[in-house]
Amino acid sequence: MSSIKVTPDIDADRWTDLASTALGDIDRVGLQRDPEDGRVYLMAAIRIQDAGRRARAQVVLTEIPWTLAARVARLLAEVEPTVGTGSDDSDDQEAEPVVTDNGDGALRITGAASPADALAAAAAATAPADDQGSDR
Amino acid sequence: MIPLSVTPDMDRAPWDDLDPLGTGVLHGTITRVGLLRNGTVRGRATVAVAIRLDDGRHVIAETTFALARTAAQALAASPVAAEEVLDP
Repeated sequence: MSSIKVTPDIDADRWTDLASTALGDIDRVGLQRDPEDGRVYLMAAIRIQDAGRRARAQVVLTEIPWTLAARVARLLAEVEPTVGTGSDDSDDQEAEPVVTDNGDGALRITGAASPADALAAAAAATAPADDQGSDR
Repeated sequence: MIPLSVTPDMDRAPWDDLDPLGTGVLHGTITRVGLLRNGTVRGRATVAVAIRLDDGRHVIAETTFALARTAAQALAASPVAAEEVLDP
């Protein structure tokens, strides 16, 4: 049985117990039916951070049952009203993600926040207080 | 920009381009999902996912909350998702 721990506020409950941690970007997600068990799975491809060499970044593939993923999404949605709304800069396109259909079976969603922003925040939140900035 | 691609039906659009250099794709298991309420410099929330690789290492991957929410909505609306019975 699959299980996932959901942390509504990582700043308050940091993942400091995770050893040997690398950082990455969620590159793509998709749905696939497993022909063996007949269940639908949420697939996700992660690109491990490799500064300046995105095309050569190591890829990690992972999956969870869609039923579990949908429940996690609902839990996170319940937290939504309390999460940060950020600045209201007129050039902040992240407020309205853009979905593009290239006709190849995949949709592409884009926002304005940079990966560096997100990864820097993740590093600060996940590294022990006396270990920030060192290798993880 | 952070792009996030969504494939509503991977049987129709398989990810054949994941490993163009042939270096191999690692496999991992999602163990945690969480929110960083002010994950970006602009103060927007991000979703973080902890993945335990088969060799024991961990990877923490992120995307913004807004992108994750939009992706979840797109997937939930797909015919493949509609075939799965969700718990109430």
